[in-house]
Amino acid sequence: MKILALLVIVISAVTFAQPQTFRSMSTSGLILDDLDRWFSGMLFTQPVPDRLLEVAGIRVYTGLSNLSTGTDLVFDETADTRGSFLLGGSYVPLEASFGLGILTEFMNERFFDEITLLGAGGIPYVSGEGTVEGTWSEYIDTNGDGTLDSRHTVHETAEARIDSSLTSAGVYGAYEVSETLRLGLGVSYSTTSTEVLDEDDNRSLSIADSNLVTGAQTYTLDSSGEGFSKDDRSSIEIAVSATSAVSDMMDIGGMFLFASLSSDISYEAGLSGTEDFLPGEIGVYDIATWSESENYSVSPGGSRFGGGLNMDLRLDESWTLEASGGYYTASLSGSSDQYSISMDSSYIVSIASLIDSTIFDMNGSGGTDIDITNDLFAFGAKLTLDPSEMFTISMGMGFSMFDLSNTVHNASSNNLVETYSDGDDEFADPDDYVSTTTWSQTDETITTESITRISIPVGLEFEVLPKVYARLGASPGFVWESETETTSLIEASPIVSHIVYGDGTEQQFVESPFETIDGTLIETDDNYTEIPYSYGVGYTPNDFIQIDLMGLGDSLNQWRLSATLSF
Amino acid sequence: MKRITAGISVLLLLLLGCAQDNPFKADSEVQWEGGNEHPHIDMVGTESGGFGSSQFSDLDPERNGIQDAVMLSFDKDIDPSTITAASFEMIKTDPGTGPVQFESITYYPEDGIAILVGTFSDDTAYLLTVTAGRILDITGNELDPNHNALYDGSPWDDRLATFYAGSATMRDITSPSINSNFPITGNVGNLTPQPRVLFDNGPMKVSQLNLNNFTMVRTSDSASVALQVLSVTGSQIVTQPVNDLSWGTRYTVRLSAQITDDAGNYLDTNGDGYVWPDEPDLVWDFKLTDDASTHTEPPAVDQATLMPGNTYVRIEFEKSLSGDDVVMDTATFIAANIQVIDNNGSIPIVFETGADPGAVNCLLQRSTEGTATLHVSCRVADEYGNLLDGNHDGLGGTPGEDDYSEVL
Repeated sequence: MKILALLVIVISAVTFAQPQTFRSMSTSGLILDDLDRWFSGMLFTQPVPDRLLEVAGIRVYTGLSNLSTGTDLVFDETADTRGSFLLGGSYVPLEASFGLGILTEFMNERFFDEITLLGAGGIPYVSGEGTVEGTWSEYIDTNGDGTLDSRHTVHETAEARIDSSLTSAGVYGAYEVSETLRLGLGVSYSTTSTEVLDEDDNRSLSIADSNLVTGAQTYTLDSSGEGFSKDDRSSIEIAVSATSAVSDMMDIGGMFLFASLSSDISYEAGLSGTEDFLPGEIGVYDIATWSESENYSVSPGGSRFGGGLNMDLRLDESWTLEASGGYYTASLSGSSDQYSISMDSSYIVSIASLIDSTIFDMNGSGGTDIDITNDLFAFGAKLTLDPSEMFTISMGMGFSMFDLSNTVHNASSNNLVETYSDGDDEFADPDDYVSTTTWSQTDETITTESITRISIPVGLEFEVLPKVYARLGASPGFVWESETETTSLIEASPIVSHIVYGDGTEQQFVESPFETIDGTLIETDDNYTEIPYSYGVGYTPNDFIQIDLMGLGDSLNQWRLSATLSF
Repeated sequence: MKRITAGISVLLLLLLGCAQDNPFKADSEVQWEGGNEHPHIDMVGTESGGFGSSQFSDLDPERNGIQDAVMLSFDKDIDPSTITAASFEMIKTDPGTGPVQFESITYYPEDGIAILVGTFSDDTAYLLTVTAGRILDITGNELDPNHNALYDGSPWDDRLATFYAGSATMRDITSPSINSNFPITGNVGNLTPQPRVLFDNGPMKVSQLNLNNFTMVRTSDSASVALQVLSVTGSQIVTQPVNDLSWGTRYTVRLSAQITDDAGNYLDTNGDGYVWPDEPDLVWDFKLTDDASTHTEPPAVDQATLMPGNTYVRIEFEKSLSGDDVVMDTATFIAANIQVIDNNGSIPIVFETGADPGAVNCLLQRSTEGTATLHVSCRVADEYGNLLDGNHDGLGGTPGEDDYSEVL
């Protein structure tokens, strides 16, 4: 069961952050651009739509804005991150009491894993991405007479890729109720889908051996498998905010967010094959066949909600003090009894007039419970000096505490029946038997993670040339991280085999010694300091465009670019 | 405050960790000690004589009657709650009949033994029936006295035991079995043979040894052959065809398994000591020898040789009984009928026939690995369609029995 791999995806559905502009990213999140003001807020935890009214005019965000990941390397065509098609903007007419904002994003991408096929002697002979196929042969002089007598030919295919898609759209509005009160509302919907085809699941193998002298096939093997894991998730998010001017110098605001989360996670894989030692012969068997299938699905759902308060205090024309705090909690849970595995295989061999057969039939079933919760408390304050358009500096203090807990409860039980017959139809035949083997296990894994961070960021922006601004940021911080992973064996039964022979004799075997891992605990505690630096350049060639750069270096390949249109 | 909160969280986590230190829950009765095997009573005896004894002797002379006890030993752990009076029926069988009550029934789990105490009469025989389905082991499995790994119910899974005191005769609880049956070969030289069966552990119920339970057909078309009974006793039945049989013809005789001895015990056809509900009829074939007009002597493998270089196997055939030369049907030399199997599995074969009509060369299409074994099916035939006679009894064509195998 690939539940752990799937769990990573589920967790990412619960914890997400708002996108940042290059301006805020290069100043340690202290100097916000227009989009940051209304779409992310000071804490980058949720949209604050009433602040749309602070962004007068028209802003247009396109794919050039590089908002989807912030890491697109526009001058490097080989970059893995392809980004998405993004379109949005905001509109606040001059002197108007309302504002509108829209942000949509579409992404469709496919990544390939490198696949290597091994030839004779285990030496790689073809590597590539997507679907890889190859055939190789080996010729052998079996009797040493100086001529080749047999051929061994192998044909193999393998396929691996990851398909991802994203569609999201949000509409935000702001309204100035009075000179001292403004309200904002935003609604967004997003859906993502990821389908993974693993190389181990999607593979075929054909082997054919033949006698070169007579042309007779002496052995064949054909095996093929298909499988995929899929993760579909969606969320509907509602954000509301309000800001009140309690005085000419101070605004106080509040914000609230609610998101409904849902997901469907599934895994399906199948494998079948045949191995024939007497290929092409009718009525005679020395053949093994097998067929396996495994599937799993779970649909966890949950919600994320929370809110916070914000205060803006304008100390004088140049100094501003801003403080914000918020608490958000998210939970996601789901259970499934849809896990099943079945394997059927047989080995049938003709011995004179009899058909000797061994048939295996295995069935397993089980269920999974997933329960994930996380809590985020964040508080921050910053003091900004903005004496002119040529220079801005901001210093702040931030505190955040993040706790994550996830519990995965797995139960499975399995039954394997082996039936052997020597084919002679003898009554009470002691050679024939039916063996039934059973085993089961229930375990639980609890993972917790706690991150507490205190940071003292500083960021500045200054004009180095006309219309060219340099940006610098540093965010020294103290971080306390702890993680625990506890696994517990809730219940287990040993592998017990009960054999009934044709003559009625019974035998029972139990796995002995029966060893269990009853529980494990892994703990990590880490305390450290960090000082992440950031820098960038902003260029406003005219009133209609703003160009921001990050990742500046000797090579253009490392440059990241963002462009915003304004009217 | 945050430190206190964090401390409480850590403490709770530790407590949770402690609680999970050993969460393993053993369910020993079901999976470890019981399992799915059926229990059996492996020893029976009396307290006075020990296991293996069926004679009651008085252990308390001061009381009237013979005080003794039946001892039963089980080969698996038994659910003590099933060792009750309802699980046992004791009757007097000689002289006369009538129920007998035990005074106490006790099960000793540590020894796996049940003790059934009673007062018995002198010069009396008894029959104990451990009723099918009443006694269960700790996993819930019923007793399986007839050893077929199934619960068949009464009477198949009733466990019987007999006892006596003094000079009484115990009831016969042993199933009759087959001592021998005739004729069984392919060279019967008499047009009026006498098919017969001799029994052990009788006496058989003579009324059941009749031509409804003893039949004969011509094997080739199942045409019924009229028989007459020459002799019936408690230990045998002898019959004879009403009319002459035909030379070179094979016949199949059948004796029903649904016959009993005088005590009502069903026939144990295969002689394994147990009677199953699906105990098969006794069936066998015989064949008359050829005359000048028939050619029914089957072929057999004379010799098989892995030739130098291990590139082919030569098989030579002969007539089964006389050893004379035989002309084989080369159409039956196919992979379905002749196999060579080595450590890597079956070896593909190309068949080659030459001047000798009684031989075939099997050309191996790959090198042998380890020990190679030749298997020749009983479906290999001679020019007259006679199938291979692997065991040289003159009767070919019986799957398994008439196949031929040889390590090369």
